Amino acid sequence: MNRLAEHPLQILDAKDLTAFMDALAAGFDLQVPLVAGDATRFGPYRKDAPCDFSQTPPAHPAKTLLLPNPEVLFRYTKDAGGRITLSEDPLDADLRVALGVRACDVRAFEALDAVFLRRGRVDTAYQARRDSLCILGMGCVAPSPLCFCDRMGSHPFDTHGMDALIIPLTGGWVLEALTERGRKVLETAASLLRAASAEEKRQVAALRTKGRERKSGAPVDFEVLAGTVAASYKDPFWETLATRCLGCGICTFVCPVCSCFTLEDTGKTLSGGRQRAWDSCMFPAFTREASGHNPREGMDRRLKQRFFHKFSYSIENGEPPGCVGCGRCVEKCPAAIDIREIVDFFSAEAPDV
Amino acid sequence: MPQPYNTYLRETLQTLLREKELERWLAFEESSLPLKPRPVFPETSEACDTVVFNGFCVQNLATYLSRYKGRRIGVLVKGCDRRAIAVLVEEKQLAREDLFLLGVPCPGMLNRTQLLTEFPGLDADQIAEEGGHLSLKISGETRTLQREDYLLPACRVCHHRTPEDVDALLDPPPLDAPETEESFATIVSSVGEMPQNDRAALFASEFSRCILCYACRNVCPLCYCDTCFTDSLTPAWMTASPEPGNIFFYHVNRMMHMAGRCVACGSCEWACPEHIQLHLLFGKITADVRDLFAYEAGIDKDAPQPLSHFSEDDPDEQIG
Amino acid sequence: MSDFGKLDQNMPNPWQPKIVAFLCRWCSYAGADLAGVSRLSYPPTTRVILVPCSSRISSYHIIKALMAGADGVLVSGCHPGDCHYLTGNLLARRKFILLKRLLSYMGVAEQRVQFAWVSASEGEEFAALIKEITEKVKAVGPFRGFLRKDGEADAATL
Repeated sequence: MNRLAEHPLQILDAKDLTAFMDALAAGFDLQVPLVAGDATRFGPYRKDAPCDFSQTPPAHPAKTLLLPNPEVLFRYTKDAGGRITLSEDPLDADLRVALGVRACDVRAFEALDAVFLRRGRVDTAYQARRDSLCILGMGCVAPSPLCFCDRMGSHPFDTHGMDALIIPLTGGWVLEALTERGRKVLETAASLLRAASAEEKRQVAALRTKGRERKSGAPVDFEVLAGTVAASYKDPFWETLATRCLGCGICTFVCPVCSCFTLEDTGKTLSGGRQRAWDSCMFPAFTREASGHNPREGMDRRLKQRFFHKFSYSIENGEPPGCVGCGRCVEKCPAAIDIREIVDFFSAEAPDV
Repeated sequence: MPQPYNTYLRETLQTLLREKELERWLAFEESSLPLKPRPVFPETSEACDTVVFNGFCVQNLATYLSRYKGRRIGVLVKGCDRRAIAVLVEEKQLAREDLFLLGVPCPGMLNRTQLLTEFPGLDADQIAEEGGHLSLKISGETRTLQREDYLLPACRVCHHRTPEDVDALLDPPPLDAPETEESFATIVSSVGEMPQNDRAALFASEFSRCILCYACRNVCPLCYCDTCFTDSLTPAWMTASPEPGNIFFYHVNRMMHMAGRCVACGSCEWACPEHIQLHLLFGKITADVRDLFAYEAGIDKDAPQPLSHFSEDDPDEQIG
Repeated sequence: MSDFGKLDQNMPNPWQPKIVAFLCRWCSYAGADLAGVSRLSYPPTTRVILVPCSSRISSYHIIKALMAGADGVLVSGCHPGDCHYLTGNLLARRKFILLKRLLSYMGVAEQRVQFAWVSASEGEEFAALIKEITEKVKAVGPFRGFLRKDGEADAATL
């Protein structure tokens, strides 16, 4: 059983991929990028549900694994005698294995951790989900032309936070366990794996070098960016951007870092519950107060909130930046608002104080 | 679109900006993404220099007009933009005399997703739009495609491409692309003829992808309510979770609000990040309104909107 | 949506549909009243909601009723031409026909959403209408929610 320790790089032949996933699914709750329309979204592996590992990154962020939408916080029932019983769903305890998570999404988990674990209060359901998640990450051999993780302090083969790394080659996958947990999970499918040949090792090394050297633009200096963004409150840049913004929630929903939510009560007479659903700072109702007053009535104010939160407040508070460079919002925004242009604009501009 | 056409377009915008004393234009420029021009709002002659028009200028520009109420604005309008403005004027959301409408005879807009799926990495420079076909230059070779095979669903069935009642019309048109014979009625009846369970499964599958981001609502030129029913708290009709009940409630009620008003521009389907086939819904309501009340939004300007009006001879489908 | 679907059809208390009936106060509600004072018998399947006019009802109310667990919805107002507000039911009629077609097109069994005109003097007709709509909704079974991948029509076999 020490094969994985002796030979860190293991090969899974393409023909064995289904058997590999079957083997993992037999032991764990296996989550894979499932095909939905022309997008992929993480969901439980099923033999009859097609999955696709070719989208770099998958169209929907892996935050769905940690922040289900909606997420039930508690339920209640009322019996004939009028007695009310409250209950919470059991916390995740069994190991869940996420296959094919990209480096950007794993980086984003750290930003989510800052919100849900480290602001003086621990979200127990989040923590349980986070702790039980074994990440078999995947390197991006062909990163999308829209993603820019290399500018945000990462790169397509970043293994930070992963339990194992998968590198797709033409004939199959190269698997490398990075943690004890990752090794244990891979060992359940050990019979399908073989040690990498010298040629395969050479290919992997070449891909890694290429990935590390990816340069989609100048690396972002977050301290500088935080300063210029913070000083830009009255910059007409925001108003110009707001003329085009439609105010939909696409960018926040496809963002792996955005985590704002709303609470909703879904009660009927005899049963119901309270649940957490994703919300978006792009919606006017996000900050509308009971009086009807809305401190962020204008589109420019809502846009500012989004980008100030990502690039200024997070840095000021010592939390990870709110953007990991996955490029999803760039791809999906109907008004072609490009976060890279915002980063460039404020990285180039000297603080005008 | 050939470059000389964009030059001609820019010069026209520059002249009209000055002569008609417009505050600004609403038009398109290229964005950082291939085949996805974005709206631009040039206020000066120089700022008009980035304006383009091509088969990917899908978005209905009338959506932005509510932000410029009462101001002297010029708009580059396709047939559907013009129809949306007609409905907005009829609903007293805009004053026609504030606007200067420069019509562009629309060749029908192209399906970016379809092209990028078939030809990954395709760039604007590689596509030449020529009459009824597209020439693609891919790694040294030229591929010729029929334009009508790559039209967006709403554009395939559009028979009002050239805007009417405009202040000026671009002449010559950018392209002379033929219309198809199809209509929403044909698409919708092919769905309507499916067994009930298959229809239910089709819509379940399409809408299971909906994330309630409301891009379809926000991009719509005719969804201008200050507070949408989705945000109403008293009563709270629905909640924010993308659950089937909420998704169904949202889309059906939005369609009911669009009945007799939807100009079938297809912006909602184009903006949808999940590529949900929304034309199956707005096509249905458009076809039904036409079938039942002989009305086309933004075209039949003299007739009252069908849902604010009635006839004693209206069809009646009461039980029995 | 409804827990009633789980009950066995052969049990002594078989499943009965829940039907929300929006009745206009001038005609249909009075018709229901007349059915009651005439001691006519009809299935106890409806939950009546009194509304000022059939045109008060929009697609919101109808879909929300189904979302909240109804198996069927009836909207009833004055006969065309008899509206207390002169034209309310005529405006409502246009809205309803579009909604009915749209729901059916999207795969919701067409029996679930019904419109009918009942006057204040039509007590017997009202009782007959409730019998008829109850049978129609029974035939398609409990409503299990919108946008189900397994469709709608097979609900009858539950």
